Amino acid sequence: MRKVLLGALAAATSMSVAASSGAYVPLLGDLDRARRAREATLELDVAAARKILDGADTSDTALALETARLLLYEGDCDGAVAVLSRPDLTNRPEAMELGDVSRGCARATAGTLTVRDDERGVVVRLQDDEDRALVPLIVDVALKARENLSKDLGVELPLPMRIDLVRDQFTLAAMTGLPEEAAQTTGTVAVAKWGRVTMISPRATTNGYAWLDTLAHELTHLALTRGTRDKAPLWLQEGVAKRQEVRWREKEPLDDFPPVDVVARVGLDKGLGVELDKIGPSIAMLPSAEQAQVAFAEVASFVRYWAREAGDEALPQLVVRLKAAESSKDFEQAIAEVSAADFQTWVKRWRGHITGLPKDLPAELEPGAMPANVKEIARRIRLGELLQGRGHARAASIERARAHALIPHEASVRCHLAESLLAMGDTQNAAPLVERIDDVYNRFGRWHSLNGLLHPDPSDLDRPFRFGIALDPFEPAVACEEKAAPELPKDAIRAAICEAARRMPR
Amino acid sequence: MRATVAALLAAFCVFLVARAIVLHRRRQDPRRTILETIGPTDPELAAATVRGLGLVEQTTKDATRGSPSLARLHLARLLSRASIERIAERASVAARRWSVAGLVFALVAVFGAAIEQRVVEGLDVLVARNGEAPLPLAYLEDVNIVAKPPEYLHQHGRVIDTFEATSLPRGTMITVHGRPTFPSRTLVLTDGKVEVPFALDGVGGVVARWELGETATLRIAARFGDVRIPQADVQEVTSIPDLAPKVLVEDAPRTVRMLDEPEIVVSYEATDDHGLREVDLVYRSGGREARRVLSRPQGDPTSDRGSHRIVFGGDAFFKRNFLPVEITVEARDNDPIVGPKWGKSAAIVVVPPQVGEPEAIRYEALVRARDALTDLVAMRLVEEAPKGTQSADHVKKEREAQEKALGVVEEALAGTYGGLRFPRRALALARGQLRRLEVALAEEQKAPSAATHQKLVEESEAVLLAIDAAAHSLGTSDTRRVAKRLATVADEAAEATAVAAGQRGSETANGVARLDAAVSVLDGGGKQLLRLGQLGLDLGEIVANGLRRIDRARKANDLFHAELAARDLAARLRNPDPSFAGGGGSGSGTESGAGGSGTGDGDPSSADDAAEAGEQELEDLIREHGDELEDVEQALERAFSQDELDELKDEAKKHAEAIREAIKNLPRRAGEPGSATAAGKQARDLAESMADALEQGRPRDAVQSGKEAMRALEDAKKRGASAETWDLGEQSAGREAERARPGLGEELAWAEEALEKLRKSAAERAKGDLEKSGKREAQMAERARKLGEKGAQGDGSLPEETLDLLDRAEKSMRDAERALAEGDGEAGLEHQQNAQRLLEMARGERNNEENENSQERPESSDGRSMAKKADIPGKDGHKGPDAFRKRVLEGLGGSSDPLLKEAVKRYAEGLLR
Repeated sequence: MRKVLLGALAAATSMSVAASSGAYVPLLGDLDRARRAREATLELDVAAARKILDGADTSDTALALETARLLLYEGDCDGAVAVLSRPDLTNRPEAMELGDVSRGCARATAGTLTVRDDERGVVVRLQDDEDRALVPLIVDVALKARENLSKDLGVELPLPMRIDLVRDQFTLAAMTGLPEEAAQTTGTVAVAKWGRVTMISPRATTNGYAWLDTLAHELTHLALTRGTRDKAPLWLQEGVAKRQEVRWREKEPLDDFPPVDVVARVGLDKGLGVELDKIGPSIAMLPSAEQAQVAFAEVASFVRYWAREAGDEALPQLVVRLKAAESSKDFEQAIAEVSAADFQTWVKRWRGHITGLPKDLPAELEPGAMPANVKEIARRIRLGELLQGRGHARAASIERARAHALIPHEASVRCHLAESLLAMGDTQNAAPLVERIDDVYNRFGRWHSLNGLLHPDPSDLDRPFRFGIALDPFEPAVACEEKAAPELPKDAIRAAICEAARRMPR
Repeated sequence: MRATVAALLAAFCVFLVARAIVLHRRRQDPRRTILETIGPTDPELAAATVRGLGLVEQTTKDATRGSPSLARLHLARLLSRASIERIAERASVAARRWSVAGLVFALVAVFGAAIEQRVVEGLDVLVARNGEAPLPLAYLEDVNIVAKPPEYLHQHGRVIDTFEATSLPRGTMITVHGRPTFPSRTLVLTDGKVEVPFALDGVGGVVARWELGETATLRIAARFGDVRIPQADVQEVTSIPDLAPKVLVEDAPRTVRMLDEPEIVVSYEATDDHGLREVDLVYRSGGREARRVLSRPQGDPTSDRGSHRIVFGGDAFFKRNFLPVEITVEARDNDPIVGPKWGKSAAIVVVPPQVGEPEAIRYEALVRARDALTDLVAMRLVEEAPKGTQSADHVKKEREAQEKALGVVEEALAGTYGGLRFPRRALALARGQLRRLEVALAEEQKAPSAATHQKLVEESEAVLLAIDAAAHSLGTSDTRRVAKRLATVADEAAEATAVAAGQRGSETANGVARLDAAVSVLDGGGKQLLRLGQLGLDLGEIVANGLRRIDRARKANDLFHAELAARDLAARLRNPDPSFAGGGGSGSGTESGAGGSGTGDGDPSSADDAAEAGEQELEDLIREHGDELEDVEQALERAFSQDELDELKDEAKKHAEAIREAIKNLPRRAGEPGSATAAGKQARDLAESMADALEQGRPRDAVQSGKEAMRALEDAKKRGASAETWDLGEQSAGREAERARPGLGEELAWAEEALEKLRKSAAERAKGDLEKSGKREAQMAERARKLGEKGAQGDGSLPEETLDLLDRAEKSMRDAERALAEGDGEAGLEHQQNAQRLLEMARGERNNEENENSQERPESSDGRSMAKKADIPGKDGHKGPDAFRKRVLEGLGGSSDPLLKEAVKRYAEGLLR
């Protein structure tokens, strides 16, 4: 009761100010209750938020806004739109973003397919129902990542976890509020916001992407948001997410290639770096993909360095302290308390650390670098593709061999050449191209499936195919383990993915 | 009165009935019968018979009174004593008395009737049933009937045989005239339902007019209150209805697929029994209808025939329509009686291609061309280089393979795909690349060697990549255009869903039908997108998914979400970007930078970019050269001294009057094209134009018009001389033209002399400006040369024809440069105009599709960009009339010969002044 009166008093005061100045009028209502509900929602504790908002006065604008937020976090976009359509909320600045996202979400999810695994606590909403074959893997990775986050950060993500798989950046932008231009500039594929992970289906990209690692990455953001009540600075968010994105699975040789420490150093030397605490609202909103790449390397390198130097317990402790932080001063204090030095000191130490590392990064892997003969490479690749497409394997192999000669560490070019050689029956020359992962600089789904075909590892025959699907699940050769139709992989989940890949129009 | 009479009659009837009853009862009484039959002739016998009758009755009842048999015997004997003759004689006397009384009564009645019709009428009215008297009476004599068919039939009236059955067109005015038998009767003409009163005709007769509707039996009648007494005569009239026109369309009904037949000719013949007023071509599709007037026959002919060519690609109705269209020809008659009636032909149903189908077929044609080149490259890559004596075979093989490939490419480029052709740029690019291939093969043919073969392989690869780039570019741009069209269909689906959900009123069934139609169009369009290359595959998949979403919601009876899903699809299609973009080089592999290694980022071919850049450069050159040409014109105009012009104007007034005097007898109206009258009229107009130009101080225009007027006079003279002997009008026009020639020739000579004088003095004044223009002309000639040079080889290769035109344009520009440098503005201008035409020809003609694209406003989905980009014209910025003039000149300047074009242009300029 006392809080209601205080709220009303605050409202009355602000109204009088507003009346005299003609400026912004704050929300009216039980502001304290609204604050508590918002905090609970941001912590993904929707049950608590629901309890706080239960029986709310329908005329209370502040509580209505929080009700809408809660509904959006619960995945009820239509409900959120309905609440935000109230005249007293329509043009409120506080409700603008929420309204846009709710409307975008309601539109994009209308008539979509929702797959619920109530037993394991994962809800996957598929904008394109042809993606349903991916759901078992999504659920599996989400639960593994959750377990890791609980262990590494001390934050347990509440169930059900909500994951939206959307068809394109257009929808990603509509459902998250990220400007589409920004997503297109930096090549954004996923956003963790509004209590859920929204990510683009691998079918939207030409050669897929590391969609399962991305899921783990985004879940880390949700965990940090919950653990710190959304107070973690961006560098911490991204640095920890980069660290956690591969911890749900066994290590791969290219997990730290090119090494983030070296990329960060080179990027800083080239002037592409940004101050860790001045990255802005999102790495995805940096002006170029190169800067985004360097920023990711910086934050990943810094967090890895800090976590290693400060000890395993430092990170969970920092998360706990950040939750109570009210200002940047509290943040500085928290970092000093858990790691015996303030943030700037750690930044200096980290810079000293990376400066001491060798700059042995191949030129083509430097941020923003392009291969020397990019046009010629592109010509050979395209000619090879056209020739192979018409069944001229020998001619295609000539063009692809030229491309390979120009860029020998490129996994995709190796795969293309191997494909032509295999079509000619020249397995002997195809096999070495996909034998050693150390020979390539980048991850490419087909490389793994060809590796699995030509260099089967008796100890774990499935391993390369699992890697392949984690990168490019809708490439039929990858998804179907290089088997020709109608043969399917033995594993039921991968068989379903193979069928979905074969159904995809080409 | 009528009621009183009826009451009296009723009472009379009652009396008769009562009397009959009484008589009947009397006959039942035997004693009374005996007394009235036998009594008058033999009263005693009658009394004895009555007693005998009593005895019979008593013995029958009581046997103690005596024997019944004896009593009956006694009665019989009494009756047999009565005299039959006497009784008959008495009855005869009574009958005679009654007859006399009846005769007297009848005579009295006949007399009454003879002296008073009203009595008969009264009696007739008295016994009328349902307002109609039973006894016909004659009311009209000397009857004549005239029938006048309706005006629109243009037929004369005629007298018909009175009271003879006849047939007349519906709407005929039947006039019945006669002399009334009895005055002061209200006479009417009636068909039993409707009646028309007769009116006095002023000469002792009466007249009534009856407009014939349905078939009728007309009678003349007299009206008495509610009762009508008819005349016995009847006039049977059968109404002939005006039938709806009949329309026959050749080969209808039939179904046409727009892709198979991009245009059709609709040949029709419309006929009507009386007359046609309009013939329309009608398109119907979904809820839409559009009518185009094909013909408005004058004079109500009963038949009309014609043909109309429909080019689907150029017809606005078909361009934005994705549903089948029913085409009919409908004719309207001239019936003012029941209103115009439309007759409708059988339908030609035009099945439009699915949205994007023509684009998809065109794209696939280009892909076929690319495939042919791919096969050529494959062959050349694996083919050994020519060696020694095998060179001839090698070159022959190369030539055959190339001709085969180029045949496929040429066939694709020349094709029309559902009304679509390849855009100008794609054609220029492809033809330029083919030339490049020809050059490389010719080189190898000239000197077969490993080097020339390698060069041929490289050129072939480059050409393949160039065509591939063109296909990619075409596929992408077509996908975007098709997607935007489909966005409007998705909007329609959303709107229809709202209607089906009852949000827009009550026509929910209509909403369902609209939704089904929109879904079907989206489905077809989505499938076409899948055929349009990479972006098409992406967006086609999105359309298919969008339709599954709509369907899922519909099946769950959730129309709200079906509408939202449709709106989402519409929003996505309005934004036809790839689903994923960005990421650049080696990405992080997580939330951003999924773009891959970056090896595919380089463009394999710059041919499309080079073609675009070349096109833009040529556009810029054409525009700037056009501006330069105008500058020279203005410089020459400015160079004329104002004083000299004023002086000329004063003098010119007299000459203008002389011109008008010379042509005053030339025809004022244009006759048939190609006639002396038409040529004379043209000469008149041109001479008027010359006079105007002189008065306004435009001597150059005056001379130009004057020369053309002289040519027209010469033409008129020749045509007049060769006219038929009976065609006096043509002969006269020819003679007048001949008469006008000397006068006009004199004035033309004067104008030429004046112009020459002005030129001489102006040349000095304009020299500075012309020199500057000459230098700029030289720069532009250099640009034209470089354009040709760029187009001669490499990715920016241009077709031979374009290179030739550029070369000729450059030469004309060089000539112009020299003339301008020498101060010869007129000659410079002429060379400039020639160069401009050649440049425009090098650019080529835009096809319809490109014109439409260029007219599409670059507007954001919310339409705001229009508001932002709308320039406010400056005080000199109103270009409407100039633009119109330019369009007309361009339209008329369509001749392929640049010099002829110039002549046409000058003529058009004369017309437009």
